[in-house]
Amino acid sequence: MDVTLSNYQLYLENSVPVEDLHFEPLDKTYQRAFMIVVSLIYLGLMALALLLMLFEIPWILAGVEGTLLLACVINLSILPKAFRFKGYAFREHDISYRRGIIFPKTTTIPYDRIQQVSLNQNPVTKYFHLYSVEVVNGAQSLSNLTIPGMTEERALQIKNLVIAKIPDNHE
Amino acid sequence: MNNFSRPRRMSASAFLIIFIKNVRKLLSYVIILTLIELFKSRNVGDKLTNILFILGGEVLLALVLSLLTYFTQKFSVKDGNLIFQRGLIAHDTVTIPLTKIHALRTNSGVWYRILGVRGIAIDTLASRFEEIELILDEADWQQLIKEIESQERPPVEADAVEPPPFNPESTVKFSNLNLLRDALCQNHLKGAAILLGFLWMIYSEVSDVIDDAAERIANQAADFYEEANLSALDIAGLAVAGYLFVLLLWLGKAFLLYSNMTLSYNNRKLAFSYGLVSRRSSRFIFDKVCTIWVKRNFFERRFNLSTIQLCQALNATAREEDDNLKIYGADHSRLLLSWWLGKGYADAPDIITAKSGRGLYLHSVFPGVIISGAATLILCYYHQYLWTVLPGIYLISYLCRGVATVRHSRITLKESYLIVHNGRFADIRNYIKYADIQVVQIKRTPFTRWFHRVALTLSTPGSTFTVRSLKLEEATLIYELLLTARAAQG
Repeated sequence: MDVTLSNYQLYLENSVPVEDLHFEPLDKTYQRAFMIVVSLIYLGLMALALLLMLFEIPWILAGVEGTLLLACVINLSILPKAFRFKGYAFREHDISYRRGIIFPKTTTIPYDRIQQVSLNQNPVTKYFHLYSVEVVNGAQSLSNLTIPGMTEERALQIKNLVIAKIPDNHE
Repeated sequence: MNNFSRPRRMSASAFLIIFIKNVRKLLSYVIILTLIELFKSRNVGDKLTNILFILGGEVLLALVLSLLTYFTQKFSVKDGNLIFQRGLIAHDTVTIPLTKIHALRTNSGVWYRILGVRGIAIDTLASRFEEIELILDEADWQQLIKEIESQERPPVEADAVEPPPFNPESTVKFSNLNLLRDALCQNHLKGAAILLGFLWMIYSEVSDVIDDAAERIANQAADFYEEANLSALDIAGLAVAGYLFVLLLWLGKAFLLYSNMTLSYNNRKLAFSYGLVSRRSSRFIFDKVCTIWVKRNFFERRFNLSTIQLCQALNATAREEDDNLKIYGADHSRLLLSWWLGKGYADAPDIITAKSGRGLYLHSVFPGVIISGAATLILCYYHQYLWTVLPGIYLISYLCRGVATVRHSRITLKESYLIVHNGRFADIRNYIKYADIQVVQIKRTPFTRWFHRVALTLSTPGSTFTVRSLKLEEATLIYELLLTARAAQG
């Protein structure tokens, strides 16, 4: 797929601090995919908890299943807020990604430190035609930044933009 | 003619290599299943049939896995990038700029030579990339090299970091006396770890022979305690003897490992040679050093000693190398820092300094509070009220550590480098160049809205530092300064 690089929306000047950036939201379909993944995880855990039936103590089983159900409901209820907070932004020299509700984090990677860029799909995101862009740098920790919930076009745009921004790699 | 501009699969012989690798991977399971089958009480005919089924199953599974791997992996070289595509259910496309490739490592094992192929591993600074291997025949390999060379752009001169001028080649001999003096200034309880490790090894060896050894020892210790009727002075004497023994072990370890240390250096590299019995060596290349760690505790400051550690950039191949050399002895930090940061590094003016607040205190003492609280509850449950003194002492030590941690924790940005100060009772300074910063992160907590404090994390290719409980405005400013200075210096 050929993508024109001249039409990128670079909101940021290099003088704009990360705190004041306009973070672009993820694709809305990703919220559904995210909810399905979380629901599947909890369903899997609840199915595993059924093994407690072997001990023939019904109140333990009920307690565990109830707790998991409650955790699932709480998790699903805060997911939309978490989804709304997630976002990415570009500046002249770096890329930033924001996520987290209880411990909100903003991570910034300078373009010239980026070692590789990957586009990934798992079975659920594949069903929704969504991609995640993984930006890998050479740091000891925080070595990869994954921006999920992109359409194919957007993911390719971001990949091409990041690759083009790496010094000595301009096409 | 080989063409890498369009996605293509690896050489056909690669399939056989992948198959052999998968057979090897599954072999351990086959051995286990075969052994289980051998010990089952059935007639020999059944056993042989089942073992043949296991072997056939392994070959079939390896074949399926190899087909999946071979037909779902493609690669290409396009627009100055090496591109890999892989996966059937989950799909990945990895793009590596050719300018970021440090080295191409080739593997020519027996099977590779028999089949006339090479395994090529790509080295970048990204440590996670080691699992991908390209298996190509000679013609493809030569063509790939040509493609990479034709598309690779020469590095821009301005990017090359020129080391500061230094003496052409100099040698420094480190004093063994200073090594022992500095070893004496360290936390001697480090020796306790060696002692415990040694005792654990002996225990593991003999525990099979003497099953009830632990019980016997416990009983004898109880009898001995009752019969000996030890006074407080005796117990103190025993503690001192134990401490001296631990101290002796620690000194022995330090002397054995680090004595007769010599350093030869020029403006490109540092080469250390050390060790009493077997000589070891560590090389540090100017461009690969990413942090210099300097520790001075109260005693080291008093006797003009220091402990220094140099951190190098780690990638997939360098991770296992011995990069953790610690230099105990007279304070050589000025020599090493002026080699790395330039001779006028000490005169560089401060741009900003931000200190951690009381949030760090809570963060530091939290584990101690939990552990001592739990221990107290357990002791109270068993009515051992006198022994609650121990968790109390433990808690007090944690509270003191918390105060010391907060006192030291800060970050200072200088004109050409930055210093992350940490440490509990010792003053630890981590010197970092802006150009080595790979990623910066700012993290809020649920309390940030009230106290306006955040944590700032920065990571280099060989080290990561988090400075907690910084004022939000200061942390934001430092965050921006780090990125701006890094862009200017990088």
